[in-house]
Amino acid sequence: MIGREDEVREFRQRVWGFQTFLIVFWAILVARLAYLQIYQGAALRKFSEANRLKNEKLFPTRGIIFDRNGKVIVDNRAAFDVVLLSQYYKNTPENMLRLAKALNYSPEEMEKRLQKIGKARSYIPVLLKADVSKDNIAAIETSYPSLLGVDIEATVQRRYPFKDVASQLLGHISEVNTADIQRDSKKSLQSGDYIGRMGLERSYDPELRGVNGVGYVEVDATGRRRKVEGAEKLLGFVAQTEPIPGNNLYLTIDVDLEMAAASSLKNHKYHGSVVALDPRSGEVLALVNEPGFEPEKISGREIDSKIWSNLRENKERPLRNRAIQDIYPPGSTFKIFMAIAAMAEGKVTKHTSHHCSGGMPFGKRRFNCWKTHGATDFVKSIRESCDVYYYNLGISLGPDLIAKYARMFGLGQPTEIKLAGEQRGLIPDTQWKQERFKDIWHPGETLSIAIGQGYISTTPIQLANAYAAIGNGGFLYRPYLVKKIEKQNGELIKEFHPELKRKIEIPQGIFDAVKEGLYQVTNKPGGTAIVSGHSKKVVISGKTGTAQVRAFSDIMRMKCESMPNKDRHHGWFVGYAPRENPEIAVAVVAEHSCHGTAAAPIVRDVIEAYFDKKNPSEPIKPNENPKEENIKVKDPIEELDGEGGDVGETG
Amino acid sequence: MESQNFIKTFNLGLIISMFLLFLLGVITLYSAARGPGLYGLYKSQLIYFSIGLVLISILVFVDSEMLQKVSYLSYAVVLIMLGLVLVVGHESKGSSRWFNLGFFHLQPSELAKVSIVMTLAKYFSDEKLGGPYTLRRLWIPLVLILPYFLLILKQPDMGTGGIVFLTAGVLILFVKVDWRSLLIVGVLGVITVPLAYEFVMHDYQRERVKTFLDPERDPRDTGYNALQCKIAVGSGKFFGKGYLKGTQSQLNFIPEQQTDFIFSVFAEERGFMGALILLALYGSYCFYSFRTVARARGKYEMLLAFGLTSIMFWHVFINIGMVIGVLPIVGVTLPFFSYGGSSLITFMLITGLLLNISRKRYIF
Repeated sequence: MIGREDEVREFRQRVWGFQTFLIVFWAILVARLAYLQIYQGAALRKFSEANRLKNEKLFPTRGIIFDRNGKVIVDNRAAFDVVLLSQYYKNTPENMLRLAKALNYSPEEMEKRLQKIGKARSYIPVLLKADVSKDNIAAIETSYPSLLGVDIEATVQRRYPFKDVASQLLGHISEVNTADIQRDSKKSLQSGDYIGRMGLERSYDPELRGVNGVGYVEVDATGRRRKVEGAEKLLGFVAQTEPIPGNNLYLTIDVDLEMAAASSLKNHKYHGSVVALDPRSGEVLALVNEPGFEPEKISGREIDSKIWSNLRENKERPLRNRAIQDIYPPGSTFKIFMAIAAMAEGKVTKHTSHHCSGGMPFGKRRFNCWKTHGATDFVKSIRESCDVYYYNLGISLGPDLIAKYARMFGLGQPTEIKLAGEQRGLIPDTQWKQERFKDIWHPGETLSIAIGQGYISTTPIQLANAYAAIGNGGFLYRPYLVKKIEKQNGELIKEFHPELKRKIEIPQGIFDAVKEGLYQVTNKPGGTAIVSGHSKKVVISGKTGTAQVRAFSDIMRMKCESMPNKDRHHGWFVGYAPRENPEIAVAVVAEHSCHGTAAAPIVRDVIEAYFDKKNPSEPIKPNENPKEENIKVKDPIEELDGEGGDVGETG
Repeated sequence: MESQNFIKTFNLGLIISMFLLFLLGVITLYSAARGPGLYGLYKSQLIYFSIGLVLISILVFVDSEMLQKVSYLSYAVVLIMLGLVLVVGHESKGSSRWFNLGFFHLQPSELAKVSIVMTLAKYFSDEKLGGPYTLRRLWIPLVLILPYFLLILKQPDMGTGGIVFLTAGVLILFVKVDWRSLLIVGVLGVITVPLAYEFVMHDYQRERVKTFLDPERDPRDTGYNALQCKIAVGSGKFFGKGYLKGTQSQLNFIPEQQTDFIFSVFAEERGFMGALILLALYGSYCFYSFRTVARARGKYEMLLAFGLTSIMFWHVFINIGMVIGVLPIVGVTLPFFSYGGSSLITFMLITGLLLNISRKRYIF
C-alpha cells in the first residue's frame, strides 16, 4: 500500500523475531517464579510466618501475698507501658509535640527522652513511659499512623495496697540486671524479668516469681501487635507455652496488728522497730520499722531516680529492716538473762539481797546506779531495774557464764528467720575479746555487760524471741513469717510448722521467779513501767531498757534530753502477755527516745490491739493489781541519768 | 456494511485481555490497600478506569492520519511539560513528577512514553531511505530522545527514563540498524555504564544496584523491599495463601505494595498458578498487540503499534522482574494493576491507540 508495501512486509516478518524475544523474557520470569514459589516456597513460607509471628515472652503473674487472715497485702494489677521502636518512628517536631502531649510530658522532657533513646539500637523497643493512664493510651492510639513505632505494651505492676506498711518486710521488686542473670545458677532469669529485691519478695522470690511462657503475637512490619481473627487457624500451629504463675504466700503476719504497731510508733513520733511474735510457735505477728517507704514506687519498670536516691541516701534509713538488720545494746532488758544465769548457777536465790546505795565502787572507780534502791532482792531488782544488783551478779558470774546463758536464749546469733541480711549481734566473752582485741578481759567490762551495755548488742527480733522463750517457759523457736505456700489455684505446696530451736534446760522455778519480776515491772508500785507499760485490759509483763548510743564519762554527764537527737539513748521495752501461757511477745526499740518508758506504751498498744481483735466483744477483766491509786504514780523514769552512762569502759 | 466491518476489525482479544487484567488488578488492589490511609483506593481506580474507557472510545474513531499530524506537536507539548514539572511540580518522596491539578496528579513522564513512540514512528515513517540505519543517520532520533531522557532522569525517575530509553531503543532496532553501528553502540555502552554508575547515578540508585546484586547485604534498609518481596512471592507457593490472606502484604511488610510492588501481593495470595495466569494474560495482550503491528496498514501505524507494545512489554517485564529479584528495584508500574491514575490512563491510552490501529488494518 502506498508504495511502501515491501518495507511493511519486511517489518511484519521482523515482528515474529520480537515475539520470540518476548517469549524468552517471559520464560525468564516463569523460571524465576518457579524457583521462588516452588523450589524455595516452603522455606520462604516459613520466613513469612517468622516475619509476622513474633516470639514473645509471656510474663507469669507474681504470687500474691496474704496475711494470716487471708487479707491481700501484695498483689498485681494490669499496667500499660508505652515503648518506642525508633526505626519506625519519624522524629519530626510535630510528632515530638504530639507524643509529649499524649504522654503528659513537657516538650523539653520529651525531647530529652527521645534523644536518650536515639542512642539505643533501633529495633529494640525502648520504654518511653511506664504505667500510663487510659487517657495516654487513647491519645497514642488515635495518633496512629503518624506515631508509627510507638507501641503500647501490656504489663503487670506489683501493687502494695497498704502503702508503706511492712515495707521492709515485704520488700519490693525490680527488673533484673546483668549481674542478677550471671548470678542465677538455675539460668531461669531472662532480661526483662523481675525479681524481689528485699524482704519477703527477695527471700521467697523463687516461689513468687513463676515461670515465663512463650507466645506468638502477630505483628506487622512496624512491630505493632495485631489481632487478626482466626490468626491461629490460618497457620494451624501457633504454639504457645502458658506462663506458670507464681505461688501465693500466706504470712504469719496480721496486717491489722502490723498497722496498729506502725501507727503507734508513728503516733509516738519515734523511729525504730516493733517485733511481735507468738511465743507458742515463733510465728511473727508483726514486724515494723519506722520510717518506711512505699514499695510500689520502686517496683515498676521505670523508677524515679529521685525517689530511689532519696531512699538510699536518707539518713533515717527507710530501707533498713531494723528489726533484723540493726544491732543495739540491749540495756536493762538484758538483766533478765543475768538473773536467770545467776539463779541457774546458784549464785542467787529468790531471796538474795544486795544493798544499793546508788552505785558501787569497783576497781579504781565507781559504778553508778540510776537510783538509790536500798535493800534489793531478786524480784525487786527486776521490777526496779537495779544496776548495783546486777553488777554484783556480773562479778560472781564472770563474762563466760553470762555469755553461755545469753546464747541459750539465742542472743548473739541469728534467729534464722528467712530474711536476708539478718545481723547476729554480739555476746562477748573472754575468747572473743582475745581474738578481737588480742587483749584479756577486764573485770570492769563485766559490769558493763551485766547491765546490757558495752560490747553487747542484739537485734529487736532476738530480744522478742528470747523474751518469748522466757514467757513460754524455755522453748526457743525459730521465728517464721510464712505459714503456707499455695499454687494460684489453691493447691497447697508447703505448710510451715513451728520449728523448735531448743528447749532451754532451766528449772521451771527460775522462769517463775523472773516472770514474777517481769510481771511486777508493769503491775506493781515501783515497777519501771508501772504507768507506761501497764494495761487495764490485759496483764503485760516486760522489761524496760536503755541502749546507749554514746558513752559519757562522769564529767561529761548530761541529761539525755539535752543531747543532740543523734546522741540520745534508744529506749527498749520487751514484754509479753498474758502473764501465763503468753500469746504474744513484743520487742520495741524507740530510737533516741532516751528511756525505756518511751517504748513501753508502744508495746502496750500492740498487745492491746492483739487482744482487742481476738476478743472484740468480751470485756477484758481489769487487772486487780495494782490498785487504782498506785497506777496514778508517775513512772519512775528508769535510767533518768542515763543508766550505765557512767560505766567507764563501754566501747 | 460499516457496522459489520467494525466488529470484524475490532481487536476483541486485546480489549478482553485488558478487561481481565484490570479486573484482577482492582481485586488485588483491594487486598493490597487495606492498611491505614489506603482504604478505598480501589474506588478511585475504578473511576480512573471509567475515564480511560471514555478515552478509548474516542481514540478508536480518531483518524490515524490525524495522529501522524499531531506527533511532533505532542512531542513539543510533552517536552514543555517535562521541563515545567521540574519547576512547579508537586514534590513527593524526593522527586517532582506530578502536576497537581487538584482533582488529579498528572505525571507527564507517563505521556512521554507514548509521545516519544509517536514522534519516532512519525520520523521513521517519513524517512524515505529506510534501514539499515548507520549511526550517522540516527542523529536526529537520538537528539529527539535525549531531552526526554535527561529531563525524566532529572526528576529523578529512573524507571520511566529507562522505559523511554528501552522503548526508543527497541523501536530503532525494529527499523533496522547497521550491524557495525550496533557494535559501536554496544562497546560504548560497556564503557559508559560503569562511568554512569560512578558519576551520574544518585547514591540511592547505586544502593539499589548493590542491593540487587546482594539483597541480604542490608536487610533492614535498602535490601528490605527486595527481601520482603522475595519472601512474599515465594511464600505464596504453588496455590497461594488465598485472597486477603497474604500475611506479608496484609501486615504491611512491603512498602508501596499498592503501586510498584502490587505483584508481590498477587503472587503471595495466588501463588505460582496465579502468576502463570497473569503472565499468560499479559502475554495474550502482547500477542494481540503484536498482531496489530503485523496487520497495520502503514509504516507509521506499524511503528506506533510496535512502540506501544514495547512500552507494555517493558513495563511488565521490568516490574515483575524487580519484584521477583531478577532486576534491580526501579519505579516502574505494573500495567492495569498498580494504583495510580496517570499510569492506568496511559495504558488505556495505549490500548485505545492499538485498537485504533487494528481497526484500519492492512487488507490482503
